[in-house]
Amino acid sequence: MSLRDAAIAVNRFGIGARPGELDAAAANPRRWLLEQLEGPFETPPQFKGMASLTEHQDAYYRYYLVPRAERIERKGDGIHATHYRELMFREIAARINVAATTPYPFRERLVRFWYNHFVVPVSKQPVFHSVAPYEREVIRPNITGKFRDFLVAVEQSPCMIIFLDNNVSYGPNSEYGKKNAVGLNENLGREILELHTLGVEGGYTQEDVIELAKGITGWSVGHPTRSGSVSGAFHFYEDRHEPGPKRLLGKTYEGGGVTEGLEMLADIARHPSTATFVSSKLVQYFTTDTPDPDDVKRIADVFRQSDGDLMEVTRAVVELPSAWEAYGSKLRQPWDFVAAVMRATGDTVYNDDVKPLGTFDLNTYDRSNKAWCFYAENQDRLPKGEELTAFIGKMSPAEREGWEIFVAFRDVAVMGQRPYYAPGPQGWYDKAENWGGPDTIMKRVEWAIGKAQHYADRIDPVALARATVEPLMSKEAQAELKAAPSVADGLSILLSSPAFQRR
Amino acid sequence: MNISRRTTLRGLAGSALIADVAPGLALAKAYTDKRFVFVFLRGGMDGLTAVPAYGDPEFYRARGALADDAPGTDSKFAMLKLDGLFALNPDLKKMHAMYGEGELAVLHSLASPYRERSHFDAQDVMENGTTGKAEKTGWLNRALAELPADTRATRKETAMVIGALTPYVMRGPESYSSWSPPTAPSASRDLMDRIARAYRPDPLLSDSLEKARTAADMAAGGDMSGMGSDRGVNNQTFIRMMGVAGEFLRADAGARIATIDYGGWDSHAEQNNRVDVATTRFAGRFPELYIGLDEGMAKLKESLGPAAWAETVVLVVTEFGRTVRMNGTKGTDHGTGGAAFLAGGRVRGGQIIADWRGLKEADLYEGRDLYPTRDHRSVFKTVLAQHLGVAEGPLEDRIFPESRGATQLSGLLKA
Repeated sequence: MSLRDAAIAVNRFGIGARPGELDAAAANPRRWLLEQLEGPFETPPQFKGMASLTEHQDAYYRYYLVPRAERIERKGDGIHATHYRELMFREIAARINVAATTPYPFRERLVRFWYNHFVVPVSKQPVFHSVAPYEREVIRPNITGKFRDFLVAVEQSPCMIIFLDNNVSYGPNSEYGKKNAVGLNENLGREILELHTLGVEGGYTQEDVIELAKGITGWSVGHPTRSGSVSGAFHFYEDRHEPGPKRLLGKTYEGGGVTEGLEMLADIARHPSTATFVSSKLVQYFTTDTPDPDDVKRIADVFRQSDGDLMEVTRAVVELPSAWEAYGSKLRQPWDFVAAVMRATGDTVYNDDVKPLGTFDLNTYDRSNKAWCFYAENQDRLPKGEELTAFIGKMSPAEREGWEIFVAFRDVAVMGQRPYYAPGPQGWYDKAENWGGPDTIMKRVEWAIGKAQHYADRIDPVALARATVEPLMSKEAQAELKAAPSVADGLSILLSSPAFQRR
Repeated sequence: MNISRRTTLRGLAGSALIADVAPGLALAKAYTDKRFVFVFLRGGMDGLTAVPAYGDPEFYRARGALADDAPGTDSKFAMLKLDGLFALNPDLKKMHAMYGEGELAVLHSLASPYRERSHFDAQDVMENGTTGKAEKTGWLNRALAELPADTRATRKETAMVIGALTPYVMRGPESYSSWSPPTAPSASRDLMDRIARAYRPDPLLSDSLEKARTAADMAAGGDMSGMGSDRGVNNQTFIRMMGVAGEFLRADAGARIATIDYGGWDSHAEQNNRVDVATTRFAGRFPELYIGLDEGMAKLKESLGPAAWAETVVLVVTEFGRTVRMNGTKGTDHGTGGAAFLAGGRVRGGQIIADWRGLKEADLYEGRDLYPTRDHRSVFKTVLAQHLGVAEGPLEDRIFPESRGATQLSGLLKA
């Protein structure tokens, strides 16, 4: 096996080399990748102690059950917003640390892919706090399982249900619907077909959207005031479910109850268009921006023959010959670029020791804790240059933690990819043209130059190149690296080089 | 920044464009001098806070604590009278002066064809220029392809995105450049040259870096000091970006179209919490936004200079207006009809364009929102056709399909 194949495994399928990783992958690059997926699922240590989606959702409901005047008197208004913000920043910092240190970088890339496929962005208040837990609990454990099970876990997640309004979708002829004169919201039904399974050209009609939406009426979230439900967890409200038969994609469903929707999802998961749609996205994600239709067909066949076994499907993608050719067509998204630099340099946010944050309890969350988010709220007032260095030097450990969390978030955001803030239910775009605009490229270069100053006292650029991307660097970039007049300049050239930007 | 015609020509001398430049400049004075700045206030600016209809008999009752002091009152927070029905927000003092000088027109009760109340969908529909979410390119990007040939031939880049993210309205296959304030001290030219050489084998990165460097040079050459007051809030970024937009657009061979996003307008709570800036440096979260808008408009005018300002149209829009009545948290919720501003030397200012239905509950949209009486696209079409010289055919077929009902306005721009 060539060093080049190892570099492809580490950079195209992984996040980028940590020191030593290139050598570890060199013996058998394909094997190195697949072994990362074979062990049992474990939550990365950085996420230990973080509250669950259900706990967050329950806490949110309970917060708003307290009359407003009382809320304000006790803690001041807006404390929920303060809390979720701290929560998000800590989750993001922990996720960066996972990416920067994980021995399973391929798994991490798949988590990014599937989160983006089934994306819930931070977009409306009732899901602010549950987006990161959603990725941890609903996406992470399912990336090598059956697509059908994955789909059900996603569509029954309170996070997705609230994001796409299924909690306010009622069967117009259901008991609840008739009594309250309310009806269907087809948002989730539509996005399941358009974005999660068949794809927009997958051969469904507006009628199918409506029928699927009817089939999942009543799929909602338990609430503290609803007896028999677990607050914050999935709950099926029988009295909101549209009665009568539904006809989806040529098949009639008339069982009623929660099973009706489950049967629909099982059939949609098996639909040939789903295999093609999902496969084309996967192939595009890991090979080139314009995937070869034969490659897509090959993966879609595996998807169909294995009944959507994502381990089999992923293995087939790794084994695509084209995945090991035509290197460099993909541009790393900002998140991955930052993670690649952190892996290469051994950097982490706050020494990989970001503390978890529990759920929001009105009585215990202390507003004075928000010192850390002062930086986020006062970006324009922060000192600059040497004053900034002095400012950082005077921070307490808690302030320093807050500072590093804020900076990690800002660095990715400034390149155009605020973590968890995808532009909509279609997720982030996945082509070089979407990420390679003049300003974002300049921001990457500026960031790399800033980082290079930071590392210049301890990292040798030529040695670092050898340990990471040298087999993938152009002659021009290698020449510039060798000719660099200083360590900082050499690191700047290496970290901003196309080999670091692309995969 | 001083880019004279001569230095521009010299700057372009090495490029293949040089052959086109000379005849293009010789033509001058056609559409090639026209500038357009598109400002998007994200979050949904409250149209009745920006442009209160103080003369409507229902106004004070409907607005309650959200109403500012009546025009003419001896108060720092008195509305600024436009006519017997409308006034401007007390913080839009410079824009009020522009109105008086005939350089600002006010539009009211506008909405996109979208009638739900999601920020994101509303923005998407407004920016893709259609009636639904399917179209993935922005109308301004599609319009770039239809600009008169001279406009594009005489410059390297016709359109600039001011900001790190390309707004939907500019997304698409047509070329544009972008710029946002640098986050790090700028690197030495020598280092940037080295990085650029390392980029050479990569056409996309190489091209992007070159465009960004050109943009950074232009921005750095401008007067970036003394950017407004030192209140240190986010509106300073907007003001700065408006100044930079002016720098980009002023030059003879500079860009002609710029987009700028200005976020934070989602005023669900404490919308009109005013503080006197004479006694504190912070006027209140939402008042600061208006101050930023006001100073940003003035900054753009100053930065463009009189000659370029005379050829400019600035359009300020937001995705929707907000509920007429105050909600339980002293703010307003997502609504429908809203306000917009049109400014610049090419605008026939001093007028208000509004088919006003009134604020009685029966006259509101779904009993809660300002009733939309005009489609934004009628304004977009007016600017593209009458200001930038886009022909009717592509305007109706490709840029704004299915928009026949949204007819162009006459008398909005100077002849």
